[in-house]
Amino acid sequence: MTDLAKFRKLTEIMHKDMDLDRRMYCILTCATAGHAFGFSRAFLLLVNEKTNVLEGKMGVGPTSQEDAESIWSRMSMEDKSLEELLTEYDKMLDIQSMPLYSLVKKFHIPLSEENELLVRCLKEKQAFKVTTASQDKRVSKEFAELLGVEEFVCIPLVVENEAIGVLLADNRYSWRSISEDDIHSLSFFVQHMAVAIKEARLYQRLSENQKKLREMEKELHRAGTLISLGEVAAHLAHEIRNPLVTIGGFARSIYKIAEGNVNEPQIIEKLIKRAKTIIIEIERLESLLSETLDFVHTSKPVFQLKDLNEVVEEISDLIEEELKSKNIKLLCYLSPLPYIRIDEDQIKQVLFNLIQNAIDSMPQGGKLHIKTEREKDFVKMEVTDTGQGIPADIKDEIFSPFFTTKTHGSGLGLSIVKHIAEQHGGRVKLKSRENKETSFIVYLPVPISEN
Amino acid sequence: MYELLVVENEESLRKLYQEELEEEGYGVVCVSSAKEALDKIREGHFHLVVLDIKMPGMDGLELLGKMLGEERKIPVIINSAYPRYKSDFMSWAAEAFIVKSSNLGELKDTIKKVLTKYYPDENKV
Repeated sequence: MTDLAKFRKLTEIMHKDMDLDRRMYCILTCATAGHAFGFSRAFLLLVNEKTNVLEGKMGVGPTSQEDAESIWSRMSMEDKSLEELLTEYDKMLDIQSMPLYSLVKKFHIPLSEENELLVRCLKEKQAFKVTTASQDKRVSKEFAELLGVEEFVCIPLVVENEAIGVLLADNRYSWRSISEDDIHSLSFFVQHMAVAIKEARLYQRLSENQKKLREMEKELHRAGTLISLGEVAAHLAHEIRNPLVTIGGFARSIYKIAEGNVNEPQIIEKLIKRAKTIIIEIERLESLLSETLDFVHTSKPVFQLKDLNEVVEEISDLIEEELKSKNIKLLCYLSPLPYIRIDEDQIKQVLFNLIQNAIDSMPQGGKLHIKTEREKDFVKMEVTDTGQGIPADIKDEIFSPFFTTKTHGSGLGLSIVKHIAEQHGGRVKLKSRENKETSFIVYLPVPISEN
Repeated sequence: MYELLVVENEESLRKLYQEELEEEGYGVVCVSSAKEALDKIREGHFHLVVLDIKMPGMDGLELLGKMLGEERKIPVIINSAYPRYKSDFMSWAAEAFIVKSSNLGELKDTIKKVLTKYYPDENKV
């Protein structure tokens, strides 16, 4: 690549947008295009700073000799310019559909493996050429086998004295040997493109953070509706209580007056009976209100160390009959679990709500799976039904208070589930395939002492 | 005769308390706001205040705070629909806390108890 104008053109195309995959594709296409560097295959590996692993990101090139030959004959006929080649990328759906993707994903080299050539390439910020990979002590057997060639070159992507990744290129299908000139010009190119990759990576990270922020915002908004729900309930309860106290109070005084008056026994008796009924009903309402107010305001869980499986078993015993009558088969898969800190009543409520939803989604019957297992620092409880599934467009909404797809029901069930899970330091996940199944997965943390 | 001041913003509840407490032999004055209550308290002849908390304008707890600054201490019984106010530290300044109920038994008993405790030498009922 001596043509500076071509180089400039490429830089221009490359900077058209900030997409990391597109930029990687640009570089790899140049490395493999016949009228640029003309390597058979080229791969980009980037350092994952969180895990300190050099990870394969993308590869461009044929997957077999036949593939290579057909591509080359087509290419020489079509004689596509670089720009045209790059527009092919924009037609591609995602990088996972690229032919070399499955191979690329296997490149996974921890930076701690200091003897591995690619790690040295990174650390020493120096290009290496290997001519006989199977004999070369610098190349691990696994890596040589993965690549399947004897000769290849690796060039570090260095930005501001920091190596962010490695470009790997070989001539697997042309069998042309790699010259010093090839390496030199490719290095020059890679050096200039490294900045573009770093920039795109930063941008990608920024976008991810932004996405997270937006999700958090949504979450907060949802929490906001939950609080206002509490306020509404409290207000309602207060509004109802005062009239209740008055009605009940006067009913009592009627009762007292009538009770003491024995002039017309029959009428008095009727009065007493009625007043008594009023009093009893009102007492019932009052205690209901107290419970509601208590739930709204003091729904702080009371935690106790408990085996979640016991709770599941207790509930499944309770619902067995109902499920049978609705032609639903219950299947429990309970793995041994560590004790976790739960409010038993609240977790029962969670299970109950999830099971109720599952039942409602299978009016024709079906299967209900309840599965528990440990997953790292969490105990996982999964309730799966074989019902109609949840359409993707309402997945975000189903945890919001008052949201419901049923003709009956308050629309509070799942928001309560979520609320309780969060109060336990856990969370709820939804997996659903339309017309197939729906799983709600509740994660509850294992206390540190049990870890 | 003991004089009670009932602070309650609901009119029908005032009627109820008026009737029921007069029947118990107390002199009863009902007011509908904390502000009115403060004026009445400053007139200075009440033995006990029955106080609602949630009221428009100045609420019961604020009134309780103002009463603490008054020279003459009058015992207060909080009568609220909200059990949670019980944990509000201002509520500690009250002599007793009861949750509003159509059964006035608890209120009446508490009134009696507080009066006997505060005015042991008087025997007025």
